[in-house]
Amino acid sequence: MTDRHDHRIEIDKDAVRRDLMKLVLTIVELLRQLMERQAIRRVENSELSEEQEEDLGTALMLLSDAMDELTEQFGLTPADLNLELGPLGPLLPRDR
Amino acid sequence: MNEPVRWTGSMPSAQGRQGGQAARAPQGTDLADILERVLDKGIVIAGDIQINLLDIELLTIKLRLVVASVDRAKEMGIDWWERDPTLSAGRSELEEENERLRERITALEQAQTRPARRRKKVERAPEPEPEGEQ
Amino acid sequence: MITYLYAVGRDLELPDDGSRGIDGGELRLVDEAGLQAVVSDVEREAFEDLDEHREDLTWLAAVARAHHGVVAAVGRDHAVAPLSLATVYLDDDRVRAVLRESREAFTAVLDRVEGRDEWGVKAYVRPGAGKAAATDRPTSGAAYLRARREALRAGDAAVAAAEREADEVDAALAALAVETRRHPPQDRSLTGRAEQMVLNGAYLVERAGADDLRALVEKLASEGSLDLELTGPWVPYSFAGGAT
Repeated sequence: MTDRHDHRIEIDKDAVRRDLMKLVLTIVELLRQLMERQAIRRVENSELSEEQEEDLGTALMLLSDAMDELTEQFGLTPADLNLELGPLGPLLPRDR
Repeated sequence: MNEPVRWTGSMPSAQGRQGGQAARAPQGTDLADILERVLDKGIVIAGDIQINLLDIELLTIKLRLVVASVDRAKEMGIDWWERDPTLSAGRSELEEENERLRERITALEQAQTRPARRRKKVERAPEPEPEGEQ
Repeated sequence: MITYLYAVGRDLELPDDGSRGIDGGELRLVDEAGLQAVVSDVEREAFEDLDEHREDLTWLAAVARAHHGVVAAVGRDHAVAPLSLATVYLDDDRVRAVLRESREAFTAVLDRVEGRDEWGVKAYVRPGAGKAAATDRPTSGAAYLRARREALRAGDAAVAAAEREADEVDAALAALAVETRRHPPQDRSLTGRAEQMVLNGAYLVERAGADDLRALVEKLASEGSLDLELTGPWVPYSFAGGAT
């Protein structure tokens, strides 16, 4: 066994693109879920006017649709948009 | 609906026959169950040689990484751990042999057709030569 | 060569099925103080420089399977006290010394597990539980937020309900068991199942009670809402440690 074997690099452009997209989408999905939960919390605490609630909800709904589209476009599933953080568990809840 | 009970009858009859050999293909669940018991349970007494095995939790994480992501990551073209000895769980010599043969065939074919063609793969040269990175 | 200790028992015999130890080592019995230890020779280097491959899963898996294979084979017909993985001594004399020194501890474990087997029962949330039925697309932003809130709550409630049910399953099984242990639930990617594990229990059961246990697991699974998985019988690894 030579060391050189370990240094072999396989360049697969599609895979790189998909991986990068996956990472980006994962971060966006994290932010989307955070915002969504924050919005729900604020609705529960009656901190939003009806108009604000409607606007926020619409925006989040559209973002959710956009995420679904993008995920599908890149051949990913919602489960792919997650990271295992070892002892901390997954980045996102498993069932969104 | 699924079968509500999954019977994974194991020990005396089936596993006794295995002797010390891993007769079955390594399976995540199965190995996880075994490791959970032999690593973490059983009588713990001091041996003559201090053995610091990996903490079960860390090990679980490593196992998890291997078991969970092999298939998916392979699909995505990520297979670096196959060269990482700490993560390569059971790569058979046969596979390596096959790969060597495949590489050799590719090299030979390419030598025959167009030697100057750039290849995507940086392959092992058939003869070891000193290189800067070594 | 050093001596690897697998298990200790009384009136033990070596398995006659050709079982071998780690690295194919031949199994031997070391007899002392009315106890027998099942041992085999292993390379000293492999266990001395453990830092090199303690994280090497290939090595570790092979040793774990070999260890388990020997313990299971010996434990088929005899009560055994399984040792934790990688308990090694410089030679057989040291094993004899350990058998003498720890005779009481071994005897206590053997008394506890004699005639009994360990069974593992895992419970999983059944697929689809707690998932709201696919609803129509919300017609307004406010409706969307309400729907998401309900979905999140339903998910939390489903997990909480599953955990409560897991406690009930554990209690029901405990009624048939001499002793029980609850291990931490395994992670999904380790189990290879999408459903969350809510119970990972070990039950020490009289050998005569195995059929009752099977029947009870079946009953609990058909009446309840959790998927159950029964493994075993195991040599009582989970009940060989210190009394708790």
